[in-house]
Formats: sequence, structure tokens, C-alpha cells
Amino acid sequence: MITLSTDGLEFDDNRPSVEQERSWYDLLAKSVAHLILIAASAIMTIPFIWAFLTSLKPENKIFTTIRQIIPANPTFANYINVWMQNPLDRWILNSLVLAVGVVFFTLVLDTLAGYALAKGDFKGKSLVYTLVIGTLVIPPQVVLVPLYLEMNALNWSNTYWAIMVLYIANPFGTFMMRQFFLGVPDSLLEAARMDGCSTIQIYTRIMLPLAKPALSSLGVFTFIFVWGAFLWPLVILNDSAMYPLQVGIGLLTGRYSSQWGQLLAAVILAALPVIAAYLLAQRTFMEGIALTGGKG
Amino acid sequence: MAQSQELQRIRRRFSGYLSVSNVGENDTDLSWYAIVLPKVVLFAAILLVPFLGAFYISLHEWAPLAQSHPFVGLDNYVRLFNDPVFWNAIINTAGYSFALLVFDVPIALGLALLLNMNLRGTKFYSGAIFLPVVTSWVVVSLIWSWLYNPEYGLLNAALGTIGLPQLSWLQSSSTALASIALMSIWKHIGFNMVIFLAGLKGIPDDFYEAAIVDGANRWERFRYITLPLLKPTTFFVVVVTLIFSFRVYTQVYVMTQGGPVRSTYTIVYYFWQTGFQQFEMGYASAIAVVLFLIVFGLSTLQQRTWGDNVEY
Repeated sequence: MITLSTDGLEFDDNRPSVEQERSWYDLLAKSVAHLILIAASAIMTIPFIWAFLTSLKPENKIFTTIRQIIPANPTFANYINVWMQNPLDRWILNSLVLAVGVVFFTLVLDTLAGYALAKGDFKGKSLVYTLVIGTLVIPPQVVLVPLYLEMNALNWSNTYWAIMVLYIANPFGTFMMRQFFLGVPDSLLEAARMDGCSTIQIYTRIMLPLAKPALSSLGVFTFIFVWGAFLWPLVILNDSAMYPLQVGIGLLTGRYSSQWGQLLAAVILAALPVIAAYLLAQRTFMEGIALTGGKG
Repeated sequence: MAQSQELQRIRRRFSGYLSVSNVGENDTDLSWYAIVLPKVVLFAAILLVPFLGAFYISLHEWAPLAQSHPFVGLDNYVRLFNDPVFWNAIINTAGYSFALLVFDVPIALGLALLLNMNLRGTKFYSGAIFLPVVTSWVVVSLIWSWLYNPEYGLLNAALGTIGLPQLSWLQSSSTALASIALMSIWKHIGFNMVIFLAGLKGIPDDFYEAAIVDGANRWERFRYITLPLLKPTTFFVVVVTLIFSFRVYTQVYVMTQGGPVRSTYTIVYYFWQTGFQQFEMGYASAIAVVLFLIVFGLSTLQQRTWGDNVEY
């Protein structure tokens, strides 16, 4: 049995550890641990910092000043140029519409379905639950060809809906919310029923307020997931104005093979919103992964 | 006044009681159906029907604009079985997954153990290591294409500085797949680390305190408490890493386009190419069905720990 506890993910640097030993051996172990963690942190962050610093160099200086890591005269020219030459604002807007839309529908539909599966009493409940578990194991790529044909038949290609449906249909949120709602005591629901609450009122007044932490984790994680989506939008879209940001900059590579400054500027622009949000709410992001670990 | 208030209170309680008995089983059932229906319709229309459709299409020769789609039985599968490009894609994908398994999982466990020591600065360390997880595959693929640049990349500069021979990374068929795997390990480690960390936090402190009282040293506590109690988490991480690494696609598309000389062709890349470049959708669906069978096999392993057994 796995116990995924996220209570302790908020680190408290001053928390006394269970270790009570204060020997030289202990000190050595801690020093080595610090060294390894500093090295790991450097390996994880240096590529981003280096890409950012390169994007600040003028395009004609990038290759001549390759060993001078910090640019002498930082400029945003690459950012301006790449934005002028590509519909970046449209791509960012597309990504935002898709991500916000999917998060909204995921939260609404998955909390409703999860609530019904955890607390409901209706015929066919176990069949629905089997459907959830069954679709969890289908790799999304398997349905892409039929879904592509289906979307074309509906005349939905090149629409936001066509992209969003695949992510909204993802069963993971339903599964996760069901697990969460199972933990809500039945006595709470019975008391609410006694006071005259309907099924829907119990949902809005009791289940939803209780689920706030799970909702923020699921929401944040769904946002990263959709913000990074690539293959399905690439397949279903043939109008470049409808590209989400990731597809747009992913397809720039061929054209920009020698213009690394502009390419990296676009990359930094694509990474920035998520990184900024992450720096503000590190804990929620980590809990999102820990809770929704299987979605990736 | 007081009496009427009391009456109201009773009436309210009574009406609450009434609403339960009045609503009755059938009405309650209907509202449950109403709230579960939207998701069920989506499952059916977007996942279940297309899933069955993939099997159906794989038995046909299916060009999207053709007037008819002739039934060819298992021909697509026979062709797949005899297709060296497909076997190459299978071997590449398996190699990639194996590399992730061998390097990503143990390093992630090691980092989680270090972070669980509650050292000063742990929040900073975990934040930095987790950073690549939140950024997208396209973003890290482009940044690493720049790191891997044979002439101007940071990696070759570093190799040169310490006197090692420089590599051609993505440009050579002998190193391209390994380079993509190396980047993927870097991107994915924080993900596994957090799951391990959550597993470690789930082990009660009492166990360790009792062991300290009994005189167990650090190694013994790790060997006899941490390792056995972490077994389910480890199993979960291994299987999920395998399942997701079998879907490798975006990095390949952005960094190498399957090259050089098809050395980075993966199952999903080949699927995308046959289905949406050459529009041989019957053949592509056969590839998708084989991918499903592989992932399904891995998932049945996973069922033992996931499904009903996960506690959140």
C-alpha cells in the first residue's frame, strides 16, 4: 500500500530532525549532503540561466562572445524581433484560452463525477468506475487517429474545442477527486441531508469547500500539463494562427537554426509564466505532482 | 414570540426530515446521474469510442480522403512485424526507457533521501531540482539543443576545459539517442524525487525514534525501515516512469526529427509520421494498438499498487 503524504512537503529549515547524534560522522554526512544538493541545484538551473543570458546578447555577437557568459551589453532586441516576426501574442493567447478552459472544465466535471463515484448511490456506479480505471491505462496516442477523424467529421478541426476535449476527458482528475471525497465522513453528509440539503447543495456547500487544497493541486497541475501540450495540437491544427505557444516555437527550430538569440528569446518567453507562477507557489506545484503523480 | 420561533425551528427540522423522505430514492438517483453524466459522455466520445475505433481502423487500409477503406484483416500487423523501421523504433524506445529507469529512479531516490534529512536550505534545493519539471518539453528540448551545440554549446566547452574529447551529441547516430535520454533524465528527476519524498514523509517518525532507542545506526535504519516501507512507492515510480517513457515523442520531434539515420525514431514518432505525415492511418493505428498492448502490460503490473490501493 502506498501512502503518499504531502503534509510534510513544506520544509521547515528549523525543524528539529529525529537525528539526535552529534558526532563528527554526522557532521561529515551533512556536509557531503549539502555538496551534492548544491551541485544538483546548479545542474538543474544553469541551462535556464545560460539560455536567458544568451538571449540577451545581440544576434551577431552570440557566436563571437560564446566564452563570455555574461553579456557585455544586454539587449532585448531578440525578444522584440522574434515577437515582430511571429504571431507570439496570438500563440500566447491560444495557450491561455486552452489552459484556462481545460482547467475550468476539469475542475467542474471531475469534482462532480468524483463526488458521485465516492458518495453516490445509483445503478451503474461500478460500471462508471470501471470506465474511469479502464481509460486511465489507454495511452492518449492510441486514440489520436480516430479522434482526428471524429473531429474532422464534426468540422471541429482548427477550433479550441478540438484541442481541449482530449485533455478534459482525461480520467485522472475524476479518479483523484473520488479518492479525496472518499475521505469525507458520511456523517457530515447525513447531517446535511437532515437539514434539507439536496445532492447538489451538499456538493456546493460541503464537498467543494472541503476540496480546496485538492482543487488547487489538480488545477495547477492540469495547467502545466496543458500549457506543455504538443502532439495533439500539432496533429489537429493546420492553421498556424491557432497554434498554442509550444507548437509555435517548436516549429520555429528549422527556420531559426542559425538565429539562436531569437529562438532562445522565444523559449524564455514560453517558460517564464510557468516559472514565475512556480516561484510564487512552489508548494502547490509539488503537491500537484505528488497527488497527481500518474498523469505526467 | 418565543413560541413561534420554537415552532419555526421544529418546522424547519421537520421539513428537512420531510425532504429526505419526500425526495425518495428515485429522485436522488436522478441527480446522481445528472452530475456524473457529462464526464461519462466525454469518456465515451473522446476515449472509449476512438479506442475501439483504433482497433477497427488498424484492420483497414485507411487514407483519410479516400472514398473507401478496404478491409485488409491483419495485413497491417504482418507488415509491422516485418518492418525493420518499426523494430528499430521499438529498440530505441526500450533503450530510452531503460536508461531512464537505471539512472533516473536511483538518483531521484538519493536526492529525496538527502532532502529528507531536513538540512538547512532544503526548500531552495528542492525548488531548484524541481524547476525543469514545470517547464515544458519543448522549452527544455530547445535549451538543450543549444547546450548540445557541438561548436558553441556549454557541454563541449566544459568537456574541453577539463581536457576530455568533445562529442557531436545530437549530430551523430551513435550519441543522439543517449543525448535525448540524458536530457530527459535531467528533466524528469524532480518529478520522481517529489513522489519519493512524499513516500518518505509518509513513514512515521516513531519508527525511527524507536530504532534509535534500540541503538540502530543510520545505515541499519535505512536498511530495515526506510527501504522496506518505501518498496510500494519505488514500484509505483518504476512502473509509471516506464509507462511514460514509452510515450517519448516531443523531445525527438524538436531535437532530432528522428535522425540522424533514424537513430532516434521512437514508437510514437513513427506513429505520428505514418499517420499524420504519410496519412497511412490504418498502419499508424496498428502501431498505436501495439503501443497500447505494451503499456497495458506494464499497467497490469502497476494495478497491484495503484487503483484502489493508493491512499491520498
